[in-house]
Amino acid sequence: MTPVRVAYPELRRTAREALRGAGLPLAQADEAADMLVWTEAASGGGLAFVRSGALAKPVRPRLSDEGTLVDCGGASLLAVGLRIADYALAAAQQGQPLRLAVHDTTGAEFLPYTARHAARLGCSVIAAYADVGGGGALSLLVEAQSGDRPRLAVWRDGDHAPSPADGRVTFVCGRAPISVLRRHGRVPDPPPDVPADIAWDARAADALARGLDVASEDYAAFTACSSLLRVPTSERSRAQAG
Amino acid sequence: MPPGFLEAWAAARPAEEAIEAWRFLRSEDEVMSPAGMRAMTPTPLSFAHTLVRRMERHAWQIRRHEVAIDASACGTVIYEIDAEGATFHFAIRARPTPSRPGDGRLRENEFDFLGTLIDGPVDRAYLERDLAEAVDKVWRGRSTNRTLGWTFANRSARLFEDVVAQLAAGRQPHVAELRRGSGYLLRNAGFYGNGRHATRAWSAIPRDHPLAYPYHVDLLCLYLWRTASFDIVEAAATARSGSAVRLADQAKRVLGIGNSSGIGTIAALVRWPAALSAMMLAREFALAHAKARRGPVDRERVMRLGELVDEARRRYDSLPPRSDALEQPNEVAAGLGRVAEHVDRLADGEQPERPWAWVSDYAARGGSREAAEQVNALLLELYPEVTEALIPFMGSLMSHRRRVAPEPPVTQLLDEVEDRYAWALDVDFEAPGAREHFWYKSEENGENRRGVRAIDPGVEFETFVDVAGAVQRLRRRLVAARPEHTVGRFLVEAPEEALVTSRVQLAARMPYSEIRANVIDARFRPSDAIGCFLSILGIERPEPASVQWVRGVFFQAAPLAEEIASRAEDRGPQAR
Repeated sequence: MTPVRVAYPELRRTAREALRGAGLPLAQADEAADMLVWTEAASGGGLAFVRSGALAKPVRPRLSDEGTLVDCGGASLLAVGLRIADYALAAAQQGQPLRLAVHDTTGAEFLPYTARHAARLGCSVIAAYADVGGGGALSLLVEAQSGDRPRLAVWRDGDHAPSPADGRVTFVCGRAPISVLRRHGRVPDPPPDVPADIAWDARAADALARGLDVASEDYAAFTACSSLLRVPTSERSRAQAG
Repeated sequence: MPPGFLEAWAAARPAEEAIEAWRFLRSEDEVMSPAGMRAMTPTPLSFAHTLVRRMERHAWQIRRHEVAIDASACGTVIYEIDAEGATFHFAIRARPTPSRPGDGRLRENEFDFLGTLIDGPVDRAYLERDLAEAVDKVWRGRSTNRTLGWTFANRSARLFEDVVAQLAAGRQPHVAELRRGSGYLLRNAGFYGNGRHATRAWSAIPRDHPLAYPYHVDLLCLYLWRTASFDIVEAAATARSGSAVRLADQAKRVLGIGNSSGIGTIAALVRWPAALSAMMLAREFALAHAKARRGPVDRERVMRLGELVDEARRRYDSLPPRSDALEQPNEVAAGLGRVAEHVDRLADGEQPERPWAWVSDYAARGGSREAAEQVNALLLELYPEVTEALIPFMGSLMSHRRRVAPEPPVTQLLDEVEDRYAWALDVDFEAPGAREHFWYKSEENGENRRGVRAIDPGVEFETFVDVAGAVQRLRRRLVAARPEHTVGRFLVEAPEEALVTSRVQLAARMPYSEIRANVIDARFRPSDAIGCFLSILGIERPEPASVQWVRGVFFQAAPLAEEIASRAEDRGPQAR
């Protein structure tokens, strides 16, 4: 199908309602909207994730008493990624880098934005997504060096596409350079034969300036989700317009 | 102070001024209450006024590129606008008026006029393609990022045809009748930009672009509709009669562009607390700056204020009675008369410590809230250098993105809730009518509507406007949270509180970010906050058509395009 050219804020505006329509509570839909659109602009796959139906799991994550393990109960990084990043950020601000294990999650597509979020607020991040269903193989590795415009490097292993469920993330976050976090965090090294993709923010900026092309079937499903929030009309309803 | 405020101020003015002025900010209970918002009037910081000043300062040229209008006032009009080295095109397709009920509701493909504002040089084929998308598909149409926005308008049922007929007969319409009538030939039916229909994102407009300031794209379209309304009635009259005359400038100057805004405005004001704060803070800070000035103030400013108050009094005196929801114009005029006498005492040599605070406080005690707000707005006119210094700051603050600050302990967040949201915690949701309404979007073009919670379907899809309820829920959870936890940790297991948490944290740094009322209460009148927002945009003569929508006129008395092109200066309140 022919791609549809949409404007960045147009997608952002629709995203809030579409994510609610797809099953996210309002507060999470509100903050996930930006993650979704940035991801779609930077790498694609955001709308397709929503269309896959993987989102509709209104689950609260649970944090272990030690504060080092988050069980997402199947909730996606789109739904809870920012909460995890914010927690890790706050914990890391108090002292040593934090190594956080995130279990039973989905949506590896959203790990770069999650890491970037913490990096923009002052912490560097190394985050690795492993697919339990695929034998625990590393499918995505992200490094985000802190700063107003964080340096983001992403490695994707094409041989291990993320499965829709039961992913695991190792999230190492701290006020230290990436090299220090790597020593501290026991995270995998970047795959030697796969070049780092460092153009995520540039692609998102370009999409903001010029718009972005999205698959028409993804866009149709996306707008259909937002339409779920529209209430059928009636003469009484018309009288309630302002 | 909001982040960056003092630094931005200090780039243009002494930092001590800002620190001193900050102490004179009015309380949020006074400014953001429904009664306070209802009384707001336009100021020199209103966006329509800042746009006109910019157009005048840089002598924007608005040229008729094509006017092809027939006797039924249908056809095509194209303008070319040169602004500070940039070029825009505004193309209009005018169609016959379909029969429609006069309820002002959005309907598919029922507009009289469709316009598109395009950035840069453009060929005819692009214009035609863009217009065709807007005309043929309306809500489903697609544009490109060369287009800044689509806009729609309708003819005034009261004046349009009458003015065309009079001009065709070789007569001028009576200015007094134009003023008494709707005050416009066309009524705005909406602007769809900032990405809608794939148009240019506002944030993608470069900072040095002439339309980079908030709302200036939207308001330029309104101004262009006003200009087009004159050209269209003249062209239609000429097509009808060889003895037709042009509309006199005197008549044009009393005509603006009609507008009405409804309850969707409330949802928008709630959704963008940083923008609300920026808009209100700019006005309030400018007022605080004036009130903080120590006497004696120079006689020229005193005389100027006296003139402005008297002008405003006469303007209110000439207005017809309004709906019961608002103060009557003669009451406001009487209040202004009393303030004028007080200002005379300054001219006669009275020397209060802070003269403008002395005037403003007197006006506030005078019984007419709208008169007091009018006086406050006029005080801003005495210090144009201050309003100009605030303009860039307001623009940047409006772009501020609300987010959770995860590092503080939950006890700090609880303190912020109790300190900044006492008004919300005081709401008794068990009281009759306290949870009467909910906002929702209709399947009819996504139109915002307000339902009755106990009766209407759609509560599960309600648009978020219940800030007071959300704050009360947050407080209950914070009280039960472990005090040593950070906000970040609290929210891992309570992600549904992230939205209200970010609002509270924003409010801790940015005043005036919330409407201080239980918006879903049966007694809440949306028109109060809608009117406030329209005054920020710069509307004249706002009048609630019901509790759910407010109508008024933009750019009435604004300089004409020819006057702007010739660097017109100081032609009435809009030009100052």
